[in-house]
Amino acid sequence: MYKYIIKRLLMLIPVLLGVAFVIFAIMNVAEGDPVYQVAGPDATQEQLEALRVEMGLNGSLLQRYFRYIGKLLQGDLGVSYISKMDVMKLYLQRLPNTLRLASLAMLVAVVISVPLGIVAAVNQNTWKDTLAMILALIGLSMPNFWLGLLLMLLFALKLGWFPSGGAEGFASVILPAVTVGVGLAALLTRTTRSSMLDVLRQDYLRTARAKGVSERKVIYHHALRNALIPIITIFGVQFSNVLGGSVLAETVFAWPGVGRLVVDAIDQRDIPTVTGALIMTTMLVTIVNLVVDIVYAYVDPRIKAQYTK
Amino acid sequence: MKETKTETRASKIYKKRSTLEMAWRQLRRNKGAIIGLILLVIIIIAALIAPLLFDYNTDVVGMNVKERMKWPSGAHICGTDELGRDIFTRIIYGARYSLAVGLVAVLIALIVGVLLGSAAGYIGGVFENVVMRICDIFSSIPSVLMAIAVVSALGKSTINLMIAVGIASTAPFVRVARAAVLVVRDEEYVEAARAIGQPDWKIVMVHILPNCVSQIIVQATLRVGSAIISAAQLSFLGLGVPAPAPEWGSMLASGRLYIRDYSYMTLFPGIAIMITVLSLNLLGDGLRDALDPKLKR
Amino acid sequence: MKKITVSLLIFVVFAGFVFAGGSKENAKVQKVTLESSGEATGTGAVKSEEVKANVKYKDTVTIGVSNDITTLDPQGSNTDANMMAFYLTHERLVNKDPNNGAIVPGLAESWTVSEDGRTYTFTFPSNVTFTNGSKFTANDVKYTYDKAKSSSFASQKVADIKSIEVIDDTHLRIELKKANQEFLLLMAHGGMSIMSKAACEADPVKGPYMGTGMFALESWVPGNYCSFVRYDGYRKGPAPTRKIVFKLFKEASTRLIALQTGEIDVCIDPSTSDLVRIKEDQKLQLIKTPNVVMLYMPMQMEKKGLDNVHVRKALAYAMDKESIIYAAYDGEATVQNNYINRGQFGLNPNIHVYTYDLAKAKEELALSGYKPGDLTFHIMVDKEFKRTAALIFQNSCSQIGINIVIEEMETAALKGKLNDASLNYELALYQFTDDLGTDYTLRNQHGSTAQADGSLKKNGSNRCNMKDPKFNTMLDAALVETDNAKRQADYYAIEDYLDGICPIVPICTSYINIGIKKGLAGAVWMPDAKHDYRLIALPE
Repeated sequence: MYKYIIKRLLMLIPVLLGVAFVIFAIMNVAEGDPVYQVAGPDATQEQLEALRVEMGLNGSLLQRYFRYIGKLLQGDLGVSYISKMDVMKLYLQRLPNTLRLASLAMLVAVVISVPLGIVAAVNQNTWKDTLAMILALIGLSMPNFWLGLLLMLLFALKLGWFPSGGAEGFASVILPAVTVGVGLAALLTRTTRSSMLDVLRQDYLRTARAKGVSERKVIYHHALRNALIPIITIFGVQFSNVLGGSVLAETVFAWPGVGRLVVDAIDQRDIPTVTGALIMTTMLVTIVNLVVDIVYAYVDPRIKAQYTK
Repeated sequence: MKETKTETRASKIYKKRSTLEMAWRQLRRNKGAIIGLILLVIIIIAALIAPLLFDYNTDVVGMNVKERMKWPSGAHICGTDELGRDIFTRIIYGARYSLAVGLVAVLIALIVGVLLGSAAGYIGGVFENVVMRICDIFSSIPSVLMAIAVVSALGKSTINLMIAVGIASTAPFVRVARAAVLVVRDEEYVEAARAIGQPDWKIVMVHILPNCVSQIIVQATLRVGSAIISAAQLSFLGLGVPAPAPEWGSMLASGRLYIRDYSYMTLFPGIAIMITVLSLNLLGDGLRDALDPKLKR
Repeated sequence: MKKITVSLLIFVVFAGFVFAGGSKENAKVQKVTLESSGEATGTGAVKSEEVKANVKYKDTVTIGVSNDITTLDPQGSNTDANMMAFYLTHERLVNKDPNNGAIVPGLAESWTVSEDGRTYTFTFPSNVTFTNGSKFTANDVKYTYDKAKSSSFASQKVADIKSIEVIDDTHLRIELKKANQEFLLLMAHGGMSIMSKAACEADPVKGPYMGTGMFALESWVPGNYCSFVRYDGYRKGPAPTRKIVFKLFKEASTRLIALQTGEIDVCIDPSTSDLVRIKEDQKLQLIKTPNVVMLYMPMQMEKKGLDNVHVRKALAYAMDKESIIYAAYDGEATVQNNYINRGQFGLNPNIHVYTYDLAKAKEELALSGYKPGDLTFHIMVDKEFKRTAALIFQNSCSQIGINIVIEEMETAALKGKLNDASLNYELALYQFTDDLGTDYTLRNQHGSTAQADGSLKKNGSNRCNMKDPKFNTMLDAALVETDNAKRQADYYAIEDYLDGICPIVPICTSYINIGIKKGLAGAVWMPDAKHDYRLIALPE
């Protein structure tokens, strides 16, 4: 088992370095010499050169990349062009907000989708099933920021039940979380349904029923436990999409999270902040995926068996 | 020898025809897929004939400032926007942008992805490992952020948007192609082809790829939907198709400024996006059911 | 068919809820009326009610702003958003009286000027302290002004200073290279805020944040808020409010909602279409005064196409100022045709006007030698309403055959691109809020300075990159002209000259709109948008 974990951890390192390189390379393609943004209109050549060295802009792409990685390993992501604040500090200030949003969104998604998926599977081909599937399909097809706008219009502006933006108090996280959660819920409903259908067909359930186990226990105790495995996998994989989706929700609801940090920084042409935030977010996603994979390997006895021989 | 060859060829053609026929029959039975197909055809036709119905300069971007911010009425079915432009016209015209970006982006992703994936699967070894790791890297970056990074690096334009969304959608195609190649790579007929002396690329194209065509088609249809949403997302953030183009996402972005008093401006472009993506999803689901008998629902 | 009916039904019900608001009266062009909740002064500044001694005021006042603070170093930037912070934390040698624009004492309690106008001697009080309690001396002024010479944002203002001599702790003598009528006006600018020598030498990054003002920086979260706490040891007595918070709301509608829900006490720059809400709300008040924020379009004169005067004139004739005011400002703005701001000395009342005339625009284009379809220009814009203005301009230009590409970016990025020495931009929609003297305005906006190698380099705010020696000569002559009538005529002639060159297209000036909670006292609302919050207070 440990072999598996160590193997995955080792594979993590080149992936993280690769991620950093891809993002770094992309962001440095952007045209324009950022030194002028910081220096102001009347800077002399010497001031500009000194500033370039200070900002780490000298050297070739590879040289700059390695310098960047070196600093990254020490937790230094550089300094924002605009506010001169430490990028890592800016990121860590915003990260808890996004994590709050993401975890609540995932909770919302699970709470909606699992029961809905079970109902659909158990009542296959009845109106309950079709309704659930149509709702799921609509949820998948709707752009999440549009849903956010509609929710804001109805629940915040017209009804006044929730604030329309900002991060004051618990109520303010509900609308953004629902916005992000619905898309995931749509996907999970379908997955739950098909997973449950597969499992419900299995022979061992027939045996359980024959043995006289109540239908309820058959569904929740036997079927669901096994159906959960593919659900958990998708769940982990979707963390990446949840973070991506939260970028939009954060923009619509002015939620002070990491996604908005990136979008604002792009508007401000603040390259260190964009690069740093993208790299940190991707690393976070990669690590979460790894954790999910390990949990999955642990839970699925087939894989566990493979690695504990 | 010749007889066997003709026989094999004949049986292969026969097999193909009946698979397609079966798939089509299956698809026809799926009401959702048919609805999706019809909707999609309507949207495509609307996009194609739009320039014939409306003149771009007067109807789509022509401003009539006195007519600004009018609610839906007889004259303007969907109302007018902040510069007096008719929203309905812009939505019809906007279908061109959304469809174009969706199709081209997925085409880019498909071509690049399938080439890389099938090469990876066929060649194997270090090359395969490297390609798959790169694929992992690109998958780790949330696609919205990836697209944002690419657009902010390359600059805002419709073409860059297509490239950005395309790059963000490539990974699934690489995987699908590679998986398909792996399944049949060691089959006897492939070995036989190699023994005859057929060049590798021909082997891949003729023998291997046709097996994953169905999966690629399904992926592509579904991906066009998410590409359209990605394009709308980027336009909403201000990184998409530049003004004054009537892209649905940017229309939502401008409408948002007036959402309190003129809520109609945020309704119609969103519905347009939803219907388009819904039709693609319905069709894609139907295709998946029809072409892949293993996935019984 | 059942599933379709069901889903349609659900959708219709949902939509019904959402759009139950019904239609609203379309925004009509609003007639211009001056409304304010305090007394309007000669300069157009609006002073809120006086702060009274016996009233209990709230502990904290929160101001919703649209632009983020980008630095707290007075010599680190020129943006308005930062200026308002500096007014709280720092002081300058002198100030401008909001009542009449005259120069009044600031840090310096008095001063004398020599006969030839080149030597100023300042006297300071002896009890001035920085917000960390340390004593202020004239050395700090010398340190600050010397430091300004190496700051790319502030060096222009101290360019004329020949020498600074510290006589003693409370006396300072400054000698200029030549007499400058506007020297004191320059010293009143926020960028000339006095910093502590000791603090700056101890911490070069955070040292400049501290000044002798009534408040000290408490905490700054970029992109979110910036808060200041009262300095109780201020020599003239502490401010009425203990804590002032600048809270960032990028979007105008969100900002206004925050005011309406009570989350903030002041909403700067609500959207013009939302002003009705403030007027109708019993708990709120609308401050409105004509501003001196002139919207204009600079044309980078060294870019291909824009170096041709006929192209520039064509663009000027294609600017539909009326429609822009209608659509981008909801009618709440005044057309501007002059090159200096309303209220500045020497404003030419008979200046030639580039009316919106597409036929004339096409003529000019024909004279330029370029054909329709040849030219494409990029225009940079920030804020929401400027985008609307740009779209209108783009539409007009497409009718004469010039293609315009709109580039939207954040205000800070726009400034960055304009300040970028490579000058890699063509057009922009920008504004200037100058009331620091006609010469300063013209020199900065259109003037250039000779370099060591004889070439001309554009001055700080010269966004059109105009390098015209004749213009510089005309300016220099007007600066030293002692006969006021003749000076005025000189400036008329300069404006006419500029008009012939057409380096920028002035568009309009509008209104300062601010939504406040009823009863808010102590603030001074300035027409140049750099409001004075030092004495702001909200009754409980």
